Amino acid sequence: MLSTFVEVLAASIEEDLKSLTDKVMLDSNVLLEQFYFYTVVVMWLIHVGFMAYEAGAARRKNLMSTAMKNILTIAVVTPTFYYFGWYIYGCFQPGFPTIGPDSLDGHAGPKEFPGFCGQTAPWAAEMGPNLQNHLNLVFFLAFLLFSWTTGSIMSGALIERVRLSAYLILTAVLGSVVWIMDAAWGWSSGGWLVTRFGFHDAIASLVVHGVAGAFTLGVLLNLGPRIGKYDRQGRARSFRGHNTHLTLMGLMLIFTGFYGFYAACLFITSTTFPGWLNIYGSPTTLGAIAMVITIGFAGGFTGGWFASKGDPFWTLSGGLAGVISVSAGADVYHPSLAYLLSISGAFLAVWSGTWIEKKLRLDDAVGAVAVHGVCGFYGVLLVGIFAGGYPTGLNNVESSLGGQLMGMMAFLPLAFLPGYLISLALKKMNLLRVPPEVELEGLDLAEFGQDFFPEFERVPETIVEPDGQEVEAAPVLLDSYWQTTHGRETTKAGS
Amino acid sequence: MFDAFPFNEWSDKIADFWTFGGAESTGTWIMTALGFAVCMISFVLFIRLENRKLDHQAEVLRATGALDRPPDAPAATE
Repeated sequence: MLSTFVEVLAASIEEDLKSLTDKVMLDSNVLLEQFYFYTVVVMWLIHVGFMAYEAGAARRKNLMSTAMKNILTIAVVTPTFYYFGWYIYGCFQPGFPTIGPDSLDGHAGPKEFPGFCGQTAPWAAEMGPNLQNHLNLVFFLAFLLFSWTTGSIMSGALIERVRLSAYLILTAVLGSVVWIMDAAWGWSSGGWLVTRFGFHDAIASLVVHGVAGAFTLGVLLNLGPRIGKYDRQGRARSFRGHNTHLTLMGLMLIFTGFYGFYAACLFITSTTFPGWLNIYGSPTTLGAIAMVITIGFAGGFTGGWFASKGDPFWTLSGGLAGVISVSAGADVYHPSLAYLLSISGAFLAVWSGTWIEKKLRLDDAVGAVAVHGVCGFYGVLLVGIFAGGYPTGLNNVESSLGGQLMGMMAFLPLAFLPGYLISLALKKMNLLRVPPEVELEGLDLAEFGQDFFPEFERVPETIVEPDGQEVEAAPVLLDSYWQTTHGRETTKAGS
Repeated sequence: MFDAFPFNEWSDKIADFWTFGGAESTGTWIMTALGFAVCMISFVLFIRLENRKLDHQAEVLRATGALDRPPDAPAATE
């Protein structure tokens, strides 16, 4: 009698425990689902910011064509990332999928994440309504927002002379192939750079920013400078953006969105691990990375201010450069270290930006190659110097200077070559750059047939000569136009 | 888990309610192929539409002579 009662009680308790476990698992998954959903919402601000930032930096005659690039980035990167970008992330982590019966399960990580590759195909059950899977789609969306970001990083550098359609092709390649390939290799728990070399880029200094900057560098070499950017001696002139306030507000919006970006680089599943994990599956805390990003901005603004001697644009860009410089090690850096490193990153961005413009003679309209490219690579290098020995990933491979250099050597050609070669092909087909007549008049009239400040009187455009003198732009631009269309080019990149 | 709704049963079947069949069904394959094709075609159309606009505007500007340099135009600072 008693034994029967005990058996019934035990069965009842077991059933209750199972039910409770199921509920806790569901709550845990739904909590993570909500977390990623809201990081996506916050990350939209990055794109609002990039649009305002670049539109403000453009001259009035190119306002809408500049903003439209940012909007249509979403139109082309979203479907391409869905159709093949996410699959690349799921299946190319060991390098390339193996041939054989397990060819679809290309994940090189431990058994905790089996079959992720198969879940990333657009026809997979996990990519549609699926009551058993709360995470796959929000995880996809967070990565998609990173993809938009890579496109937007390139976008600003090319403004005022690139064809919208050429930009859309380039941004689809960057956002849905190039960056996500490097993310598979070096920004996943199973990436070959992580499992073999302990490559550590926790919050994506290199895999997002550095790679986008290197790709942009390749495009700029073929695109050439805006008409009038350089005088006949190759000295750089400065264009006046039509609204610096809008540019600064855009940067502040990007910074706000960065908190969502940082948070989306972490995940937590309390039923399998008692705390936050970075993308590699190594423990960290949300507070630690939020602290580093905040003090990274502080150091970056400080460095940018002093390096540029108080230039507003470079002060705010310095903040971005500072954060990018400490992102790779944001999960392990002490705030004081992050502060010092972010100051150095801002100095590096200002110096390299000036060098790229004046010595390399590349017309990067917003300093993207310096801020994102140079500082992205710098950030990964810093981890090798200041966080060497820290165990990375589920296999606990120690990060090292050699491992970081390996990642840099893998990602530089992976990013630069596609940007250079595809833009070269577009250039050969005369599809890369707008006709010089349209560039001179402004892209908005050709693309949209209107001026977007109809209630404001037009004032003569000005340009800043290399000696700092601000003069009327029309004769300067016309002269450069004639040099471009009737003579030799005013200057050639890298000459 | 919940009595009010056949959750587990529907969880298993929910993919069947995709518009043209469940995951990895012929209908889903066709939809995927169609979506991909439209996505690729849109790139061609982006190029053609923009080319038409840019070529037209450049032609208009050249025809009006708006960008011809006047003989007495001041030389740019060198």
